[in-house]
Amino acid sequence: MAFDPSSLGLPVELSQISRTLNSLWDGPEQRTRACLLNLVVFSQGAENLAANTELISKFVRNHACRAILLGNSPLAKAQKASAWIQAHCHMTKAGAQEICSEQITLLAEGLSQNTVANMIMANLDYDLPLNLWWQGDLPENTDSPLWQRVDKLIIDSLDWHNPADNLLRLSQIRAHYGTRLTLADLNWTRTLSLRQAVALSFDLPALQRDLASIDRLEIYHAPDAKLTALLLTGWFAAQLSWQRAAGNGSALHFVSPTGAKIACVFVETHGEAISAVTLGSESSRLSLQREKGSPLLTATATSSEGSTVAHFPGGSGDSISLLNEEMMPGTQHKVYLKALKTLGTLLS
Amino acid sequence: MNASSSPALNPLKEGLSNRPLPRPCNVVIFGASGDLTSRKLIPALYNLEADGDLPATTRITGFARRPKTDETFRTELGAALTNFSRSGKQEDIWQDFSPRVHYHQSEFSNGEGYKELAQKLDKFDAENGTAGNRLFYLSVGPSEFEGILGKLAEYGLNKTREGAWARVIVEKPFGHDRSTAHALNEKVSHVFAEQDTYRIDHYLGKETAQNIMVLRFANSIFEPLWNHRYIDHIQITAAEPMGVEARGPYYESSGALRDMCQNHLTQILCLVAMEPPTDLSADSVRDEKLKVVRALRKYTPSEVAQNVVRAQYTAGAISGKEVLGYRAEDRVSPQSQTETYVAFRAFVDNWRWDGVPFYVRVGKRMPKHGTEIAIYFKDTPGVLFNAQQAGLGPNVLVIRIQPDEGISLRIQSKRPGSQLAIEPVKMDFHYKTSFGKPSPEAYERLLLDAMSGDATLFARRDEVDAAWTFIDCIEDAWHKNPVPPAMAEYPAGSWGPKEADDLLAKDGRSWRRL
Repeated sequence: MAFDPSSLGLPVELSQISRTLNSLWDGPEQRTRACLLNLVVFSQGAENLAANTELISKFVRNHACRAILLGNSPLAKAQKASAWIQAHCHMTKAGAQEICSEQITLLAEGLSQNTVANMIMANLDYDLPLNLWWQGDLPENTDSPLWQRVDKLIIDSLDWHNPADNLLRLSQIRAHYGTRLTLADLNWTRTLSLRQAVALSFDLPALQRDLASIDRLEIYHAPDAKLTALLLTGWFAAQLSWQRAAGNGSALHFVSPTGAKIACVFVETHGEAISAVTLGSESSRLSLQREKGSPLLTATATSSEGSTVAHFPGGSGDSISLLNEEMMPGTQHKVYLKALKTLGTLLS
Repeated sequence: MNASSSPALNPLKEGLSNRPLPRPCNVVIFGASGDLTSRKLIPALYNLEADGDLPATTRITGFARRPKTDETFRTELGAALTNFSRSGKQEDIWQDFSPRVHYHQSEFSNGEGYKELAQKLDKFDAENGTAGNRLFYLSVGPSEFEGILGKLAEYGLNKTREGAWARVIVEKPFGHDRSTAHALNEKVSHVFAEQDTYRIDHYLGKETAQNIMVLRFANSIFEPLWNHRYIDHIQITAAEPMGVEARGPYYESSGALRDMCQNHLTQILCLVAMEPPTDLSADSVRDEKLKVVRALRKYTPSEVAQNVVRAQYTAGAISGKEVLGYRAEDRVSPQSQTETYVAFRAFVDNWRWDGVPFYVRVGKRMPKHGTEIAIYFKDTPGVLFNAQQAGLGPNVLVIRIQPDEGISLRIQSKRPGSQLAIEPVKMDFHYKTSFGKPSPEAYERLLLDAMSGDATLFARRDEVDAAWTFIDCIEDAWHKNPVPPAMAEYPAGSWGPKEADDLLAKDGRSWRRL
């Protein structure tokens, strides 16, 4: 499909980006530029730029930022750099001043990694955190001045073509940049509502007593969401101190600290990324289900004390909701890193 | 289900506790025909729904005396929403939300009404999986508290099934003085445990109020200066152009000191003056606030005369319109001794604030609406620039609570040009423009916190008690003293009486211009 830049705003010379952006705010209109962060969205080729623009127009309603969208085609024959600018404005209420965020779109064709990094660096808003959303497979080489400035790396591990390779690259990035770089995986965020519902369900005393004696975990996932299911399994295993055990068939096997054997079964089913999770022990069972399109998760807990049904917010799996969630302050990553470590053992 | 069990007992909760995790519940608003419901509570719940923060099966039941159907109630609320919701009214969201709003007509004293309410809530629980979680909001006058609480207990509505919760939110005024507050607390505590009692102070739900702790304890530049060595004094102002409107009888029995200072301004003062808590749990924060209230210097009657000014507005003009004086207002006594303005100089007698005056003023019929805290830093030494140009003025950090929530810092700067002329300039941070979206209404945050079991932004019993102890010293000096301090006057539309200016002038200071 031919590249259509019509949604990307005003074409502009690379050297004139800053000056042209400033001119957007010189008019008499009641508009205010707001910016709390830099968000660089890195995608391969030009084909995602329009979709990413659409996404940014929604994102800025909650997170005022300077967005820099980059389409990178390093293998293009001719060397060329193109740029567009636009402002996304919204009113917080009728009659109020318009609040605007800036978007710079860059298309890099046949350019070296350093040149691309320079194009981005030259256009960052100063003294604000840099969030880099890397779409698709992670790069092999991240040793550039741009990467050194990244404060938060946003990925979606569900997009990875080879999870094991990408996991290795991710561990290299973490080893290189250490704790300075915060990691945000939209695939992890995709499981947030489910994890919250499971965790709150285990506040029921009858279920909490059986937490250490869970012997079965079933995860119902969409055909393309196996990695989400594995990440969720990694979370259970890490939080409940399960150790991987030898097993056979399609199930994964673990052993709990009390010696109990746990079988994890994955069932492909059409619907949400994760549509149901069941945890069972000899004396209790928790089942969480989400119908496609439903905003709710239904938790059914059965124990010797009877059966209870509760509903929990189901969250939304669309990219903008996941991204909004990840940008919420206070998002904690320690638990994610533990789950990720376990995921590594599951993929090996 | 108790959302507060620790990750040690439930390791699956690790890392999930940083955000409110509200559980679906039944919200019951007593006094649902009142203004608070249509202006604040329903818009807050609606906006939580619009932002996706309200659990989808949460039901809201308005309990009030007037006969009304669910449909009438919804129609009234829908009409009010257009005016009072910060995000306006989106029809599709309202269509989802409004069927979950119900009306329950009953006298507050009618046992049958509570029996039917219990049946209704049980039915909603069964239909919606709300698991027996209940949040009761007492949006009624204090005289109704005891009767409602008694009936809730009588019909078992304060007790719920295992793992579920029943909580009560109580609106101010929480008592009339320390002894009535104590009696009220006793009544509440017989029905709801302290951990399930949420005494609401909507000022604490405002973003800027919450930001005071962040400003102080998450920024290394301020906290080292936040003490008597660098701060000259602090001014807290709450001004409003409104008069008593239709609240004459209430205001006559309350006055500015009880209405604003015992709760809102004391809470604000505590956030400004408190020591860093050991953690961010509700009790750690409230422990530190309590220490501040307890350290507030209690005045003798003669000290009250020296440190407190009370006044009433006389006829004047607001926004170009002539307005009546307080004593001529509807249902206000022509001989009223109720203050519509109060200004006082307070001292927090602890190590950090030794000798630093906190000047607090609150008034009705002021020229404009505004609540703010101004931190005045000490002057630079009188050499160099301060010697060359008299009256440079101090650095002032202003925290604007409302409207236009934000923070500004006044600093001195060289005026461009060949001369050395120094001018004060402002570094200004506005919430609404910096973050690109409006702050949630205070009630949104507070209702969400109550549903999530987080009481940090609600007043604890001992805080209320200590605040009344401070306020009672002043009230007693005014009303139990054979020679009470005079009631000053100020014209409506002015910034208060001359006596309030004199209070600062005798310390060589003046009130900040808003």
